[in-house]
Amino acid sequence: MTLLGYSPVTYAAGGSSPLPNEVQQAKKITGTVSDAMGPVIGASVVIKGTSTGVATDFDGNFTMQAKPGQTLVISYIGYLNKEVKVTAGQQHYNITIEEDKQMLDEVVVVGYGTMKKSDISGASVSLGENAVKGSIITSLDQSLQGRAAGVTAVSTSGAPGSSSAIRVRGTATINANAEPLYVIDGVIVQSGGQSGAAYGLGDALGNGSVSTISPLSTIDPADIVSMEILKDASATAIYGAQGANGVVLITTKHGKSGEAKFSYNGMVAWNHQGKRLDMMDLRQYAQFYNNLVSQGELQANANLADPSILGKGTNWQDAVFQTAMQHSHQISAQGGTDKVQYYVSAGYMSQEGTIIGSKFDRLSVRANIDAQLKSWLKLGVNATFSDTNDDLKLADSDEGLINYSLTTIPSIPIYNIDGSYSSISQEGYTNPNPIALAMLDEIKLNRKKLTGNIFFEVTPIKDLVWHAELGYDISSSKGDRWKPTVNLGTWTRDDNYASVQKNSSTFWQLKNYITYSRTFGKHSATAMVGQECWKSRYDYNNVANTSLPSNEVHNPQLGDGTPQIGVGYGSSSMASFFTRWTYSYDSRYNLTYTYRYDGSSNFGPDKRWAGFHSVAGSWRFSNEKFIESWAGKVLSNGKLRIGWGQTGNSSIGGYAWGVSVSAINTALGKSYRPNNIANKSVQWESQEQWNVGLDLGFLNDRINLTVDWYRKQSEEMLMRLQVPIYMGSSEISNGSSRLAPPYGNYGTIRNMGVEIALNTHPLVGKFQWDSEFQISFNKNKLVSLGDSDTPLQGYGQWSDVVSLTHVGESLFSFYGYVTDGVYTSQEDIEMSPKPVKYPANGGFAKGTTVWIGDTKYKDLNGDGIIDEKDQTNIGSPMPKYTFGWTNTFRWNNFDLSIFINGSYGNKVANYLKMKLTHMNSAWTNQLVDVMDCTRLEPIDASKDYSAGVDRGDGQLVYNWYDDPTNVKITNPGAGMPRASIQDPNDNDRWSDRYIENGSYIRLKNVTLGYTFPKKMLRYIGLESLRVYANLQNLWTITDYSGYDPEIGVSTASVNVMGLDNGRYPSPTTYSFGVNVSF
Amino acid sequence: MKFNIFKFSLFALALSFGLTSCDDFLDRPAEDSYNEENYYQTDAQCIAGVGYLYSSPWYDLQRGYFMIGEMLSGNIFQSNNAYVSFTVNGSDQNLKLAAASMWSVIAHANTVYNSIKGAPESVSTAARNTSMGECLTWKAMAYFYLVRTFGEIPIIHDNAASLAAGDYNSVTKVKIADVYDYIILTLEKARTLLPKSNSAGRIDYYGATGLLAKVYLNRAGVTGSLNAGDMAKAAQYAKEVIDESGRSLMPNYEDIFRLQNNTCEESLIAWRWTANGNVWTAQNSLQCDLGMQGFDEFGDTWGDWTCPTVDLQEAFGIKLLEQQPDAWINNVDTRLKGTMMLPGFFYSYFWQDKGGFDYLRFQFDTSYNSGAAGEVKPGTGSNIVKHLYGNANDHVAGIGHSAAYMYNSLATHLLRLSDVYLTYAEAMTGTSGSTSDASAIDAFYAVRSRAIKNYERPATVTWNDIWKERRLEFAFEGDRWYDFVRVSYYNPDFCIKELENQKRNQFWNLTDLYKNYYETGSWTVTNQGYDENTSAPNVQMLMKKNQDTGKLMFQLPFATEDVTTNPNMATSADGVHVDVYATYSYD
Repeated sequence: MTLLGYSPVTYAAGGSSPLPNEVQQAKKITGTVSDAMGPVIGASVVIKGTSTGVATDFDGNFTMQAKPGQTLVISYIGYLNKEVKVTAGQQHYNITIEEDKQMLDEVVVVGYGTMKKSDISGASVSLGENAVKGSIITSLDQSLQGRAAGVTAVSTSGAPGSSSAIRVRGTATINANAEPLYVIDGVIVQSGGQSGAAYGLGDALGNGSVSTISPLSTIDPADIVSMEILKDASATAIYGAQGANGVVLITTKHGKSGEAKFSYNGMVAWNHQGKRLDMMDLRQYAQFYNNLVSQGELQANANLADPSILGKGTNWQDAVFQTAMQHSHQISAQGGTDKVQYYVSAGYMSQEGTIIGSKFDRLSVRANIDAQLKSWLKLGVNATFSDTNDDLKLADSDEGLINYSLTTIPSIPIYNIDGSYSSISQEGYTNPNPIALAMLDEIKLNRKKLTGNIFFEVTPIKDLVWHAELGYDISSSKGDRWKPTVNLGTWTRDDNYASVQKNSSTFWQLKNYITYSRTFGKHSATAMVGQECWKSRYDYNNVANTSLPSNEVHNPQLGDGTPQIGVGYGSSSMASFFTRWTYSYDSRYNLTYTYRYDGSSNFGPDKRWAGFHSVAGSWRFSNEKFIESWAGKVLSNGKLRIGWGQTGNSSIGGYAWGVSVSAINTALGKSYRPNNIANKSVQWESQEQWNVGLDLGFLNDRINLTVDWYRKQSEEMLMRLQVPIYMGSSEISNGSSRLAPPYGNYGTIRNMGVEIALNTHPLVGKFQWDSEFQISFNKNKLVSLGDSDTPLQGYGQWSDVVSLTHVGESLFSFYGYVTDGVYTSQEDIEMSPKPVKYPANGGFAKGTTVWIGDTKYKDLNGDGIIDEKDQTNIGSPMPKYTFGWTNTFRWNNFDLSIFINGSYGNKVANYLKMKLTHMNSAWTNQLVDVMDCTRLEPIDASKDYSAGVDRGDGQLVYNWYDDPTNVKITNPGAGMPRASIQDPNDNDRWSDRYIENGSYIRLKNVTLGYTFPKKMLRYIGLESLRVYANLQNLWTITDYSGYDPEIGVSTASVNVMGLDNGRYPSPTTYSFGVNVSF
Repeated sequence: MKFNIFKFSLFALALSFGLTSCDDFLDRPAEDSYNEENYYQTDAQCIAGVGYLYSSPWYDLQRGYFMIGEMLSGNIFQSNNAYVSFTVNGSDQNLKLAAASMWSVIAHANTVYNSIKGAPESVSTAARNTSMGECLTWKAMAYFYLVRTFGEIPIIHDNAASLAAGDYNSVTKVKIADVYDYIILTLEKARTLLPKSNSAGRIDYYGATGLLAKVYLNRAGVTGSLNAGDMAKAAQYAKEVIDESGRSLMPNYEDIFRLQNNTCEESLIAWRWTANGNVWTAQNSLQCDLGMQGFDEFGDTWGDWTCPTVDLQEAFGIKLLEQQPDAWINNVDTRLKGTMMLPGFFYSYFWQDKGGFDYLRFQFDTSYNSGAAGEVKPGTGSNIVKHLYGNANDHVAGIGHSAAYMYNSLATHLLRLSDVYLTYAEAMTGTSGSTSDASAIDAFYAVRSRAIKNYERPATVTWNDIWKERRLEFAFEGDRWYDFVRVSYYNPDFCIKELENQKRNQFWNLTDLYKNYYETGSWTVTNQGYDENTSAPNVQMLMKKNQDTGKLMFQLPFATEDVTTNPNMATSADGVHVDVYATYSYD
């Protein structure tokens, strides 16, 4: 494929010199330059020995004056030069150029340098600009989904600018931070905190260690030219201790010498949440309520007695979702001289969320300058500043807007007659009106970030380059929480609350590396040695107060309450030394060795330093004579790669090895408490990875296949010791009272998998079709937890265990009971294994013991009792494979891109469904499904209860529904248990009833673009103009019954994935955009 | 040119390597807080180092405190609550949090105890001993709650050591009698360390001694019948507190529960909460669960439906549907009004800025309470008074600083002097069931006559008198269930019968009755009635046969995940005998 808009330098002289005499005899010739795939745009056609030349246009055509006997030299980067003689009789020339196999492909970025792709022995994937452009994204990590083999990207939320959970080759650590290392232009991206608490938003965004705030949303995706994802250890080992989760190297745009070129990219989009859950409307709710009354569960309610006279009531889902507008604009200028090139840009984007009140906007500017100061000295400066604003809403979790909007009963109006928000309180149930909650309470986050670097490249002698660089990341953030006074009748908040937290952090990194490369004969070798160190310093201060005089101004200083002040600061640092040696013989045999020695302040004095090795080799067998002679026509590229390497992980935060003692105010004065139990010998987590890969190219690379197999094992995994509740360090305790168990090197995790990428060009010529397909298989296993047998626990919301990972199992499997229908009669209960609520004294009672119509759970261990021990693995959130398939079609000036992605074999835990089918309260709305729950009726309706009947233990009962011998099921086979307010059998306990198939195929993106012909544009002074329409998340095929099967990591608890507790669904996006350059 | 390169290189190299070469670059302990190494160096630091044991680790027990203590025992009603219906199981959130809290206290107490024990010479013996004694008393208190809640439990003597040993997943439960021995061992040590008088609000020698008396009283029935020796010990320690501590009862019962009396003499051991500082877990949030909506300005009260049972009303002699309001408004027992709100009650110490709090008006007058729903929300027609501080103004007036959303500073008394009095009286009944010992009658009389002014000193006091008195004196103080637990050790049938016969259900149609009374002043029962339909809970669902006595006794299940990890924690698993004195020591 040819690149649009690339101008080879040889074109520079075109038409500027005076015409030589010979030209008088010259005649007009025309031609078309194409390669195997079709016309080549921008190829240079020069008359040999002169400076006369032209470049081919959009259709590969050129027109020029030439004399017969002259030779045309056609050149294009990456291709072999071609010479064609001009003959007298020929006016039109069809010229086909061939790729230069020696420089098969582009130079790619690797850590601390670049390499020719053909020499690389490790596993990495490149994503070009098109992958970023192909989706409507606000945050860079969102573009990784389905685009790169071996990379699983699942967005954590559908909120604007929200984060994705990126896993390179599976989850390799159970530390909170399993995200890859992002490096932009050589500078490590500083996350600034993953949780809402880190920004001073407290638990407003959930209690987990991750939130939906994305550190990458501060970067304008339009500034990115490419991303390189380093996957195997031979590629990541150069990042040593920070490379265990993979490394994403991001390169921003740089200027090219020439006249200034301006571009404008603009886009407008509408985001829409189409799907609704089938909740009961007011009539259905009344029926459901009345059914409960008929079963003796509730007192009759006169307002609901006749459903036929009721309307539909409030549709809270419609109220909480909106169609949201989004637009973005970016202008850039680039150009320069031979010595100095620049790229500058400014961008603005603004996006509303599909949940009312949520919003994101970003302003960013960038300047990248490259300058050749002296023949031996090159200077580069990259700088970007961004300013983002989030209006956040808590969507998921028990206290999230999705939950509230679904569970609020339809009999409550949103507004009172006077237009104010309504509210309701019922027995045991007080509901903050979800719409009022969304619109009144504020969670705001402003982030400012200045990042970039300045570097020198010194070439004191030939082939030796010394790169010295200072990188920086200066960030600040302001997190605001505001809770106004509310007076909605029964729901009142007479005191308002304002909190402001300002964070600032300064990160700098200094690095020096010297690269010496030399080619002699068929040998080429490169040696690099370097040093790097970085230091990060943070501080925050928080001020909060209550009782502000009005709701107009949100300054905590105005508050009348007791002001709260929080201040903290600290620092961390790392020092490293590294080296890389590569050797290549005849581009057939390549060998790479890297070593890095890292010291981190996160560990105690004796455990600070560690070294990481890697070695990899590759054999380009397609360059072997005997293969070439045999298969040369078909096989254009063939390479076998084998690599092994080590990386590490140190991300446990500062001073986890010691015991910090923190202050806590008490009634007895200021007190100090230890935060954890110490472990001075905590050290690096290490990872070892094997990789075997095969690259094959057929038919002049019209078909490219890359297959990689890997096995990576993380040992001495850094984690907090898992302990039972009786050890007093349980995770369910409040953080501020918890004596955390020690951090240590406890576990071992293994990930094994295969990745396949197949890129083909099935159609070339006028109508072109490119297809890129990738699929990733990964299996992971918790190999050991050191001395501890305590399985890893994951919680649904507070302290309810939903996932349990035992040694020997795949990570984060859901754990619970297996259902086995419902009890159909008293005999059935008596004959079945005994549940916990089985009355030993024979006194069955519908409110306090197991009852007819309750869910029967399987007695898995066969001991005749159904208890905790009958819980089991009820499904894994890990997909068996994920895939992505991009198809690009081009015809004339139209281009159409269709991107499909999917996931297979993963289970989703529909936590929301548990709450929407529990049927143990009349004050939370339920799914329509509950109307088909198991219902009970008397066996003998005429049985006389006037004198009371013994229920089995001597207690008398007076109604059929309290008499276990006179109850049967009306609708056997309903599946769902009886509705029971007391629910003594705990029918809504965590069981396979809530585990659903999470597999899906999604039409992720369809883009149709039209590029206007250059001829036309010249008249209006434009260089290029493209308009496009994009549809994102258009449809999804899935069995999942919730909003969206793509769930991601839990924001409430670590060790939980794929749990839907009201995750903000990813919207369908309709967008239109324009790219102009002039 | 070469010279330029040389200079440039030298400069850059010096800059970069200079920074990384020193080891200090990587040495970064916590900078904004103390750490284990530089704290516990002075008397003040050791004393401050135990202050948080009076609040924060206990925070997660607040719900369990009244749910276990008062709902199971039939003092608090809430419809569809597992603690009211005896359907609590091992996945119950509140139970798990309660357990996590009690075990957390032990972990903290063990850790801080060791840190202070190892503090340098710069710490005086007095400060060291006092702090260590407080740690041990809290540890004993946590075990005391645990053994009574869960029955047989493991003993974690030193958390760090257990974690290092790595055997924490295979530990076994220990027999109840042995756990009591361990508590006694711990308290005896605390008594040798604590001063006779400590600073306000802190535990002193008599606090530990009073607790020890109560522990002996509980242990007395463990063998399946009352042990005269333990009863004598209980009496001996209680007497020591009564005679020697110099403490006396608060003259007016309701005053004990006011903010300004947080550290009154009567309070021997208490959770010392504060709203000042807004550190989550340092504060009292009980008003949120127990106070009515709109009771304070923070929008943080939702306790309308968490109300005193009909059974407790009747224990005070109140029958709402059979008596006239006069019966409760002019009730002789001043504890009634300090325990529950009833129609016609007026509280001058709540809503002081609005002229006092009128319970009935609160429900019906929107000019007085904008959220007045015009309906009676609590199923039993009354609401809880204890653990409430009032509104924002009452909080400032009581203690000088403001409350906030889910934050207040009211102390929660865990061991009051009147408890020691009644413990003494009960211990003196010995195994015979009554006493006519003058000092025992004095103790009983002191408690009852404080509440009932014209109460005459009796000639004998029976066990049953004390049993009933304890319920009235300590209603809603998280203790009643544990009275049942200790009696179930030796007389389970008594407990089953009493619990099954309680009036644990609600009334119907109270709104009409209250509204009419509010509007006309006439208390006219029409279509009101008590829910006779809801059958009594099957209380045996929470009982287990004691492996030694063969008697059923109350115990709640361990958290599901603890059982999954360590099957030795299963309800069906029995504890083992441990010779506590041979195995553990604090020396």
